[in-house]
Amino acid sequence: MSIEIRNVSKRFGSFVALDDVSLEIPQGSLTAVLGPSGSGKSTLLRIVAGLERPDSGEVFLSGEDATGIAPQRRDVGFVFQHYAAFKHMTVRDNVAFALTIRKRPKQEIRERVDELLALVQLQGFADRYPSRLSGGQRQRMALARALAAKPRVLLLDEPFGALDARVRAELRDWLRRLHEEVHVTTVFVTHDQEEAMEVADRVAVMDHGGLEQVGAPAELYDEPASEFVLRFVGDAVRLGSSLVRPHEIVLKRWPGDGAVEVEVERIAVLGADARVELVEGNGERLMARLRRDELEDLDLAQGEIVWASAEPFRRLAGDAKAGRPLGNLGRDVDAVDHGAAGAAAAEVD
Amino acid sequence: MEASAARAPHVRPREAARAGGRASTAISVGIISTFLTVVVVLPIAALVWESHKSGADAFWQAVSNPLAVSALKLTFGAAFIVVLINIVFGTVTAWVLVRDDFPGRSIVNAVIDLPFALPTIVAGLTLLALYGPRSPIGIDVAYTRTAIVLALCFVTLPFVVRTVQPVLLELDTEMEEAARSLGARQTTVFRRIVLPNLLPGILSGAVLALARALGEIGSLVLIAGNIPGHTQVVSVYVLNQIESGDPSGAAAVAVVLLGASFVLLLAVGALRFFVTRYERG
Amino acid sequence: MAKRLGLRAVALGYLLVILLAPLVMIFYRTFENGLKPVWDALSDPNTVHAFKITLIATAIAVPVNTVFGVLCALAIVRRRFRGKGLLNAFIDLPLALSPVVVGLALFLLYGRTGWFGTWFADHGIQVLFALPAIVLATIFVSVPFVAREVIPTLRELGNEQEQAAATLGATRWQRFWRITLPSIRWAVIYGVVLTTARCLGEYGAVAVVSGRVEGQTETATLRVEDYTLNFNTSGAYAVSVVLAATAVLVLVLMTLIKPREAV
Repeated sequence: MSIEIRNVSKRFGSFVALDDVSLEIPQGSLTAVLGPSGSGKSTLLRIVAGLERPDSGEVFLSGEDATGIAPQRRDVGFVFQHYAAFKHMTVRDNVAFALTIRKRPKQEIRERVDELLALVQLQGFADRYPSRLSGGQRQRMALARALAAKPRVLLLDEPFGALDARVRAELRDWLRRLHEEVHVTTVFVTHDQEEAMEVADRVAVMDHGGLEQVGAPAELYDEPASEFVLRFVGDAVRLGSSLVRPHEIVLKRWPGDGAVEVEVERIAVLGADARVELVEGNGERLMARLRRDELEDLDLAQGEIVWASAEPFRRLAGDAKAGRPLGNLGRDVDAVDHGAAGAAAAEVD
Repeated sequence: MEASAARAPHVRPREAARAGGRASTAISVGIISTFLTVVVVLPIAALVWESHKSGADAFWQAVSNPLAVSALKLTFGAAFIVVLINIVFGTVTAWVLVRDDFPGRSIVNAVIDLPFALPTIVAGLTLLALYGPRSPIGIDVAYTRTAIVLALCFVTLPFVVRTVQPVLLELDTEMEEAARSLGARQTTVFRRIVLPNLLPGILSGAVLALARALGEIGSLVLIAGNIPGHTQVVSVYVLNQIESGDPSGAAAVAVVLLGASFVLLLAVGALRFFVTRYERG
Repeated sequence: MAKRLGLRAVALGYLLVILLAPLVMIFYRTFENGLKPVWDALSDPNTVHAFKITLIATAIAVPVNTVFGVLCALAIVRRRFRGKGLLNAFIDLPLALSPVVVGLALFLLYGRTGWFGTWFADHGIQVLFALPAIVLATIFVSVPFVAREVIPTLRELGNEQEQAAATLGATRWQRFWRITLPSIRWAVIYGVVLTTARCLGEYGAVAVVSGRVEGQTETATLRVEDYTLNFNTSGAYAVSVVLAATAVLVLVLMTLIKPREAV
């Protein structure tokens, strides 16, 4: 099922949750809606599910206007951040719920539940109560439950937000593989950019109720349409007068064209990478990410003075608001107002 | 190698504290137990003893006399009806107070506790005024069994409401949303999701209401008329027996009431334990 | 929407019929014939004495049960000992017992042929049908309230604050006075309000043990019954209205304190 969100707005009291948002989600895709808290992403998802009604705008499911249709009849599966497990029912009854209330025959329900439990790898847990499951297991149960009635869309609201880091990583992986197997149109909401980039085909970035950019993860990273996207999807630090990514900073022991003089404040070894905290002459702090071998080659020590520059073709010049003018591959960056700064930016090292 | 310094044996500080803690625990438990024994336990013991004092025959006679039996039947019957009424109306009231919003809601919420605050005899008097011979609305049910049910409804009203409210407040509304997203109609959501989760709260309230209803007297003395064999509840029967100089007979019936209440309360408690088995996995 | 209004109507209707109408009735009926009959009844020396007895019993029972309740709560929540369940059960017992049964139990214990009665009789102290019995009955029925309010509050508080105070050098008494007591303050107050209401309203137990002698061993509640049985309705209403007014005051206090009690 394809989803089309058209000019949807929603406010709660004086708080504007969504401001004229339009988004298309193609059939069969795995889309992430990424943004900080308060960006409106959960509200958008709930509107698609029918759990909230928009103040204006429409939602089309498979081309039909579903705006006024109750969640019961939208054929969507919804997974909540805190699982919303039916705690008074066993895992089996939870997963079977959608089918039970549709009065499907017992045998059919049994088979489908077994199938789903196998899919989410909870086969031995059918007769347990949710209180005896771990967070990760509960979320898998919630997924199985949502998939039971074969919904045409699967919506997940920060599905891994309540889980600890390791479980989160496992389930991310797992969601991706599940999507490959089941192929249902899936939309999930997250504030974790790494999660969005790792799992989704397409990412829609939101901020303060508006849609900032939609595209494939690489596109968002390489060609951010605004400073917000630049900063949110991946780190960005200010070097001199431009914004660059920490791992793009090159440190040399001699000055170079356009390089900025910095002092090494602290070096933190993070395993395969190292983070070097630097401070410019004017007191501004920034951070560079180096590989271990790069760090060792430089033989850096705290307090030393080095020169920092960014990889030439990626550096932005002029006003830090600029997008990425070089290596643009033809994408129209002027969708966001950059003024002339974008065109004038090209400085080749 | 350290020189062997002063190794004089001494009680390590932590042990001393613990021993001191144990001593003060013993003292406080001692004080509390003594108080409870004098105030609560001994009187009950005296009651139980007195009921058996004159032997099993006397006990049986006191308990099986028709007035006593009728009082017991009436009391348990009325209590059951009232608990059922409370379960329904109490739950509805709690629902309206938690999920609905209307002007004056906080006042209504406060008024629910009135039966806790008002002396029962006053409650009985006003029920008499309202639903008795000089009723302004023309309803006269004084000295009937209806009056008993009415009075008991008054005094037990807060129990179920107050035990269900916190459960409702804490109820995860996402469970209801999940059910809706899975296709359940509003009534189905209530039946399969909300109600099962409210049940422990309802049962707790029902237990309290039951205990109260079985023992109530103040609100009944004026409006029930206490017609022996018809509108006389056990507590009034016992009072009568005492005043007629038969404390042993009274004690026997009282013990039966106690015993039966105890069994009932245990049963509901067990039911509640069963219903909440999902909490224990 | 209609369903919501329907439910609201059902709940409010039920409350109106069972709760509010009676409350309004008392105030109405009392002043129906003007203030004079009310004043006459309230200034009757027997009535004044009845109020006095009620107040004395309450004034003794409340502090006693407050101290007991706090001690109990501290022991149950903070200490380990065997028999906690039993203790809990006995604290709750007065709630489950019919007041008449309570009265009977006291009657048996302190009556002239009772277990203690003989000792008291030999020493010339009258317990039954006198103030001491009334006080004892009032204490018995109001035992649970402070304990039941303080126990959950104490549980939720945990004892981290006291531990912190201990590391800062506070003695046990200091910890109790400066940390524990203030943190359970509102729960105690709420419990005291409930206890007081219960003491003021006690009927069944005192009906058995007091002897109901006008002007000597009647409580306010017994006075209401007395007036009613003697067809002195304005007298009954007069005393009732005073009790009802205190009940409303109690309600107001409960409403104000309850949110503060929540930890």
